[in-house]
Amino acid sequence: MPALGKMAHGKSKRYLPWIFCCICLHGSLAGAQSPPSPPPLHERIDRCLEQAHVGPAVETVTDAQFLRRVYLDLAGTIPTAGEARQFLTDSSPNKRAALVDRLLASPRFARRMQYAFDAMWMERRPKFYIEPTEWSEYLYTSFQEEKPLNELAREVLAADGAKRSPRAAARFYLDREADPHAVTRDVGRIFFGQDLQCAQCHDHPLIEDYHQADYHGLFAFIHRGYALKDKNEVSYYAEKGEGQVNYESVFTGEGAEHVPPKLPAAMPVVEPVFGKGTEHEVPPADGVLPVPKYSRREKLAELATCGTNREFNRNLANRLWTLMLGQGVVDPPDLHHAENPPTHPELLALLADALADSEFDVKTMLREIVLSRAYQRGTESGRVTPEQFQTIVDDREAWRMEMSRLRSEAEQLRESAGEILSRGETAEAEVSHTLGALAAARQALADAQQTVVNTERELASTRQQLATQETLVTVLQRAAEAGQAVKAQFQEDESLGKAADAFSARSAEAAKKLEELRAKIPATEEALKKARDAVPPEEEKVPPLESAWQAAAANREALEPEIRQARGNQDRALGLAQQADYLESLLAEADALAKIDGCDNDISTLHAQGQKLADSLAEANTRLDGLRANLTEHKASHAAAIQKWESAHQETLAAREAVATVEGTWQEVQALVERFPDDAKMAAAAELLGIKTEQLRSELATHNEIATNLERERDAAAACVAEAQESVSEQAARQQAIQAEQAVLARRLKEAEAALVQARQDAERMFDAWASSATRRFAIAPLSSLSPEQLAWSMMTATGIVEEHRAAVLAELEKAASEAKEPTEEGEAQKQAAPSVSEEERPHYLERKIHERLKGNVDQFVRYFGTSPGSPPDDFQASVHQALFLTNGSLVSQWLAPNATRLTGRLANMQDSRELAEELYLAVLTRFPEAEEKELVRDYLAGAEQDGADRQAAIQEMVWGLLGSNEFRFRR
Amino acid sequence: MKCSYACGSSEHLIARRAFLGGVATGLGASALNLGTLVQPAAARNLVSQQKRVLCFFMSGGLSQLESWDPKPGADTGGPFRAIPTSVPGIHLSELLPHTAQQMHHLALVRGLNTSEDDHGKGRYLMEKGRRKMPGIQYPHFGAVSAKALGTEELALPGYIHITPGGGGGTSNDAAYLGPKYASVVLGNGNPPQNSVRPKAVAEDSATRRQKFRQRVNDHFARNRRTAETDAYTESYEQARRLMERRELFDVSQEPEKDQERYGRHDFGRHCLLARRLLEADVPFVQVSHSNYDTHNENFNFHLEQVSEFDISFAALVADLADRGLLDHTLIVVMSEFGRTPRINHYYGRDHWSKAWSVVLGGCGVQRGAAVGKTNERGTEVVDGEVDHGALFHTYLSAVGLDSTGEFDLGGRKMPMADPAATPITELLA
Repeated sequence: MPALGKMAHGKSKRYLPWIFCCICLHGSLAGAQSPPSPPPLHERIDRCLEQAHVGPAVETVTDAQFLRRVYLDLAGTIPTAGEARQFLTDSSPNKRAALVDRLLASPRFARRMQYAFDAMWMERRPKFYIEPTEWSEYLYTSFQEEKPLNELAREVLAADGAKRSPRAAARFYLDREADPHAVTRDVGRIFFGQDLQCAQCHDHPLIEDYHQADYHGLFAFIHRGYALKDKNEVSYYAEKGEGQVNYESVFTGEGAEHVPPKLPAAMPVVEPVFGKGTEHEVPPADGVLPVPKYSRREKLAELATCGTNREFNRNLANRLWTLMLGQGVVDPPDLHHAENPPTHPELLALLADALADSEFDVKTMLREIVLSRAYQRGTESGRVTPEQFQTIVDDREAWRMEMSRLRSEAEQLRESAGEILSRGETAEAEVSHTLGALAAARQALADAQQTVVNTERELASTRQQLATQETLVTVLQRAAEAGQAVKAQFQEDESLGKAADAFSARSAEAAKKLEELRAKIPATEEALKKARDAVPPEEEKVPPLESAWQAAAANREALEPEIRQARGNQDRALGLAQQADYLESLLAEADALAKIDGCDNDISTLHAQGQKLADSLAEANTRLDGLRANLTEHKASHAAAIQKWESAHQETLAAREAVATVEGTWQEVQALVERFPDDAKMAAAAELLGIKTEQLRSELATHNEIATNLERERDAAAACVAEAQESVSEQAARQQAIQAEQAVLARRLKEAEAALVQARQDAERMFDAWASSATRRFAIAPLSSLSPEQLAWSMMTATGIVEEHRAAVLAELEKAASEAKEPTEEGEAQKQAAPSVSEEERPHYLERKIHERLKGNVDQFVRYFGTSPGSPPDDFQASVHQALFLTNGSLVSQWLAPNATRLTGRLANMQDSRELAEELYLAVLTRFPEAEEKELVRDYLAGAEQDGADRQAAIQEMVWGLLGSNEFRFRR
Repeated sequence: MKCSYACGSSEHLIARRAFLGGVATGLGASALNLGTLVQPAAARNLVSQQKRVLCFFMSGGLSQLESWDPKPGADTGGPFRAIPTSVPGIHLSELLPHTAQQMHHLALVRGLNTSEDDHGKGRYLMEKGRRKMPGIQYPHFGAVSAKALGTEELALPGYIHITPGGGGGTSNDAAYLGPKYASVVLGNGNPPQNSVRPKAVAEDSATRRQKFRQRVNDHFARNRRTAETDAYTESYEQARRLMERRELFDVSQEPEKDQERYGRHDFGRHCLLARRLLEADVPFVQVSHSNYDTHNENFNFHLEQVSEFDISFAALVADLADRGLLDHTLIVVMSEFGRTPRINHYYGRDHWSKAWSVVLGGCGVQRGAAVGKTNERGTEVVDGEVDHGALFHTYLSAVGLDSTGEFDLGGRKMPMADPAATPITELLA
């Protein structure tokens, strides 16, 4: 991984304007040429985020929401009803900034930071060696004294429980049971934002950026530490001055020996070398705290916190950001790697550099963060309307192209950066490797030289001893001889004899020792020669290794400018890729909205078509009616013609019959006339009949003609009927066709409506996806939960418990003051409990005393609402135990019992329900109630009265209901 | 309680199950009422299919020689005989006559070697399936079960530990799974903490304030609602349901006869409570029995303790089988380690983790099996050696979980069981 080595660090101050210019490039070139004095950080933060943002964002919060949020974040509690009322009715334009400054100056701020850093660094771990109260006090005082954060971190990282740092600072190490692996993991996670645990035994299987070498480089700083108890049972995190790290991959079998300590993404450390046995000022022994000449842990602390370690600064800046915004630029903050990159790399760089520039001043940083619009964003994604997406919907294609462009640019940058970075990694590995070898060689040389020194010392001391012994032997021999002479002379004196023998024995013994010493000299001289001979080969080994290392280091150093640029490009690529991902979610929503529009259009078209069809159908119906009437008419005419024809036909038939009858008679008469030709009468009759017949025949002809005419008329009428019938049929068919078309249309309309429902659902889903994307990019604030401490203090503030204890502490103070004026015997005791406190010290004194009185309650909340030991503290988990604790636990029940200072008592004294609602909502939810909420309260009280229930009980119920609500539990 | 007409053979059970299968589904059985059903055989089919775990922890270190792996006649064997069991060929110590009759529901693991003779560390590795590492916490078997087997609808805590002195509070044994899955520690008849409405709040007042809270929430939800706000709201709902079911923790509601049968002592009552909880779908119940740390007078103490255990344990196993719960309930009897084959000067046995035994049973387990073997004097495992990691995988596999699976905790992946170990397949049904 790329690294800012120690030598490169000096340049990083110049790095800031470079970053800044990059950001400005989007805006104005003029700004880049002459940046007179940069705008305040909060504006730069917003510029960073807003330039990268497309699409809707939730508006900034109301005064009430800001008030609650900033109190929780900077004071660790909600404000009292009084404080809330004052702020909300204040009309000065700068009141938000003024409030921020007030809170930063308040003693509650140090307490809030104590809780936050305790949770962040200790992750709710139980006591193992160091009292948590000492640790808390240490953190509290540090923040109270405005200790720079890097200084605080330096103390924690260097701590040994003895002199290096305040003793309590060693809790970070000791209460992780001082286990080197656990400590390495957590130093990586908590101070560098990288969880290297899985890289302990092999390169991380999932995360490309985490290498086994990183883990062991960090581990090398840590592994010389161990827990130690002295004879007074005081525990320390001791450190030895020797011991090397070697490792091997369980997968590939590759590894390294004599691993030089190395921070993540930094160059390995070149260390002083001490010969074996000379590594300590005070060597390790049972129950003794050793003092190494060179401490790797102190080196770790120094390198991490010196102000130029990029990873340390970025992690710490991200932690502060997370603390205020509820989510990190890198989130979770301890998993910073290419697959979980910062959402806005330039923002992270900006924050990290600003942190270093502020000299790690927590107040400066937090002040700027909370003044940003990003911090003041609302959580109410439900208020974003589809209209706010309109410009995106209209310009979808252009944005799609922008998205592809971003992706390909990101890909190009990533590839080019990747190539250089991987070269950098290889070069860096070579540096570590050669440095490891060099360090090992130097160590071997130092050890060899040390052996020479030791052997020389031994030889000198042997010679010294030899000289002394020789003198002793000479003297003793003389004495023994004299003694033996005396013994020989006074043989009966036993005591003299014994003394003489003693001298002789002692003399023999001394002589023997002398011989031994003499014999030792050549052996030692031999050893010395050997030791001296051993040095040159070791000496010879060093220079080539040194040049190898120097070459590797030079090689890596030469790559530095490229690597730095590649690192910038990689960050930029990650940023662009994420922006593209965000655009994708935005476009998905825009597409869904467009689809809704499309469906809407379809439906209108179909409706218009339907209208047209309905019109033609109406027309067709009218025509059909006309045709049908026509048909009826024709049918009537036809019937009439038939009737006429029929009667004419009958008449013809009658006429035909008459003709036949007369003609028959005439023919008979004619036959008679022929027989009786002279009968004139008969002839006359015949003539008459003939005439009649002719007449009848002519009549018949007329009838026939009439009938024929009528028959024709009938047939013509029938033809008309048929024609009309056909027109009707045709028209009916036309009508049916229209109706069929209508049915099709109705079906299409139904389909279109179903599609609309689907499109609306899709849009809703896409909206949720967009909203979570936009939340991740700080365009919507996340709804985060209150920490256990925030929850406890907020409940105690809301119910008036804090006020009650403040009053009690003040009363103690006053009593002490009055008794100081008229001293009594009891007064002395009081003075002990409550010493006189100056006006200036008073806020801190009060805060401390109230905290002392109430911290037991806070501990209970931590037990129920805190995460498990060793888990990141901001993981939210709701459990039945919490709900039972709040519902039935004695603590909350007690807080609801009324008295004059408590909320329930105050509310009971308010007769007007509107006034009561206002106080209730201000005290618990830090806002004025809305009209319907005032009604809710009024109705609730009235309802309780009607049911004959206790008014006091009703008030307690409402307070409890608000305390248990989501609005209270979460920070919006 | 056994049906006189049911012979207990597996064919018989299957036939009955098939016959009753149709009846049972329509009833939507409330598991709580099972205790009052007259015909236990019918009840068998009414229990929910949810998997559960019943774990016995024999605090202090149960002697395998006076229980699951007797060595009568050996110099290390002690004074007690071995007796035959309901499974031909398997013998248990004569201190377990009732359990011996339930052996066909159980399985023995006799080749356990955990190499850890410290109480704390031994307990840790048996309960968490991993060796203790400084600075890193692993969740208890119960927390893992509660998370993996529990359902959101269940109002009751997912992991209940019953032990003398338990006050109803929660403990801190869920590690990264979060306190939601930590144990609720019951004992001495105490219900879970805070499950009783305070006297100062009248019942209707309690109802009203919940309603008021809900109205405030509804108002808030108009513009923002997340999975987390839902979870918080739901936790109150769970609290309400738990309070409604508080009688569940009251063993005195069980029939006199059962109380007599289980034994009028803490352990008997605790076993009966475990039965009530399992019937109410609690995914993990652990019952502890103390104290087996018999450095002195091993034999007298075991005579007393194991005999007490035997009666209650056997009654519970038989009841679970009769009620059809055993098919869904894994039984585990564990300890932090066993005891030395060597008998010391005080007629005691000391800590011993090189060759000892645990018992499994019920759900997913090859019943009547005996896996692993120690030598004649019980000083060494000679066949089928396993350790705590393999056991942990076996437990999870037995209740139908993929023991190589991972928990996804907000993007962090945590293996359920030690990835270096695998289940003991011969033990799984």
